[in-house]
Amino acid sequence: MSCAVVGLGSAHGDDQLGWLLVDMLETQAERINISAPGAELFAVLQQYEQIVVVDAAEIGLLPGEFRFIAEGAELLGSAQPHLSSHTLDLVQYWLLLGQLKIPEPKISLFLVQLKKCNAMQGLSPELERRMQVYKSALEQVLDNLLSSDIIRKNNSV
Amino acid sequence: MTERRIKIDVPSLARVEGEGALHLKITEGALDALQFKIYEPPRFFEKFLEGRHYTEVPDIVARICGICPVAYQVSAVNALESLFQAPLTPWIKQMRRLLYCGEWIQSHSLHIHLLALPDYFSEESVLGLAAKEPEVVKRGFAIQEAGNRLIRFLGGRSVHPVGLKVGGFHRAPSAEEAKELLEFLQERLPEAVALAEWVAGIKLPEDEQEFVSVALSTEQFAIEAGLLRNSQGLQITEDQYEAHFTESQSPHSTALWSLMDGQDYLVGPLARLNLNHDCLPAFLKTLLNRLGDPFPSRNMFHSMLARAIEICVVLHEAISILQSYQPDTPSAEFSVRAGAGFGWSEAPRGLLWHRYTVDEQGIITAAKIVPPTSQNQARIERDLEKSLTAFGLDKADELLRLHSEKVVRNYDPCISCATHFLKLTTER
Repeated sequence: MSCAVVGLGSAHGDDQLGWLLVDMLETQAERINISAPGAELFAVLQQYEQIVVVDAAEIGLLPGEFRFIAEGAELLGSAQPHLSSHTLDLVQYWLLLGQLKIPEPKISLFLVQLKKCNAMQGLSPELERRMQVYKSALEQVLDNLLSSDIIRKNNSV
Repeated sequence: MTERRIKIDVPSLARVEGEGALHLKITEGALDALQFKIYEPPRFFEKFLEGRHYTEVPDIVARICGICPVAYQVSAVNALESLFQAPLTPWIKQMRRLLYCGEWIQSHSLHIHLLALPDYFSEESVLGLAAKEPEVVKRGFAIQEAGNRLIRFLGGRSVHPVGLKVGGFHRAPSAEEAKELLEFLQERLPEAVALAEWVAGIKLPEDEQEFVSVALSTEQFAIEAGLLRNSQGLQITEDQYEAHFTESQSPHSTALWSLMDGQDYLVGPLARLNLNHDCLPAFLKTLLNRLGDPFPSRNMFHSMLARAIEICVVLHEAISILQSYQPDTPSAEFSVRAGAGFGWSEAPRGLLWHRYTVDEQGIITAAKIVPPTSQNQARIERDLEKSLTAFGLDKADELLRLHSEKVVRNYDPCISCATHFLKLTTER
């Protein structure tokens, strides 16, 4: 068991924040990017002891502001699943772990308030200019998590 | 006499890929209007491709669909390689087939467990199904993971893979990677067989209809190449497709409608099983015999079993290929030629045909893509008319709605794939 930092997103506008940020990170945690959640996310949720999900989201802040939620399980357990046409989102996969009695990982959420997700466009300037801030904050979070002996040992294998 | 007018609108079909809807109007016990509406915005991929270099095509068309990118890539490279007369080696052809096996496993397992099965357990979604049948759902995800790993093996990643190119692949995976993958797939084959046995035991509606099946055929079970056959005896090559298949626009759909010699037809797993049943490996023929082999079948509800059987076909095939896998030269040399190239393959949902016109510099000057969902659109409406009438138009609205959705889901429509064309007329 180990620690993974997972960027969720797509190639569209601010939705690519998770991928870009995870690519920038200098960390011992496993770096994984996943397209608009598919079954791969479910496999990842079962493989790691600690997961930090990085995503652009609608969280009621100003564009570019971010929140780190250390105890993500509580939020996911009470959130409304997003109605998705052909696959499941993070909330639904989280509920599915419980339904199938699969042990849940410790999950944290690093969420950035998005502005727009226009097709094949780049990041909004509000997010683009803060990338280094996000990177530093997220690396600090991961350093703290990896300071746990068990996780550090497993990630160094 | 009391007149009964019923109008049923399903504004957004759940558990199908993309955005579609259904409109029914019943007057005095007869269907007055029925429309399978595809209202997802058009995506213009054929236009995007114009002016692009042929080397960009596999990565662009992969973006048409998150579920069946390999199908788009393979049909596209088949068309371009046919034009360029690229001398593909047996290794390249076999690896194309292997990559495609992964997509069938991934897509079929997703459809069975996440989209179709909840209907048969009166559940809204897989979450409810997981509470009733947790081991079935766990097994389903494990089988789907086999598909993900196969696509990653040759495609570099499981969503929108990037490993394929015109002329072959960008790299050949190592024998060690193949060995690790092989072990995982071998563990999944008994699970896939158990899935097929389990699906065969589900009570399905008896809903026999007349329809024409269309699928590629070869000596093996056709996946990535073959001649097109239909159940009326037609047999054609890729370049003859447009002589028999025509597309037209309907006001209630952003996808084109396809007809074969003026009639609706079926593509997809049931059509393939109906036409290629004889190509099944011996162990699956034995299994089907034991299960009361329904193929060839005229009941669209057998599509789910057809998908489960196809998972077994491709898992078995992938294992067989990987058992003797050795890395080889991943791509072939060829020269660009101007002209038109035609290609097709069997996407998880059915036949996917591509045509490209290319100039001397290898620039795409025209592209045409006919996805399986637009080919099945006319059949879906015809099926709904017959199936709902047989089901009983006097049934409660909610039952009619649920039955309609079940019928549509038999086709596993991939609406996002279908909506990349819109005829635009401007009056000034």
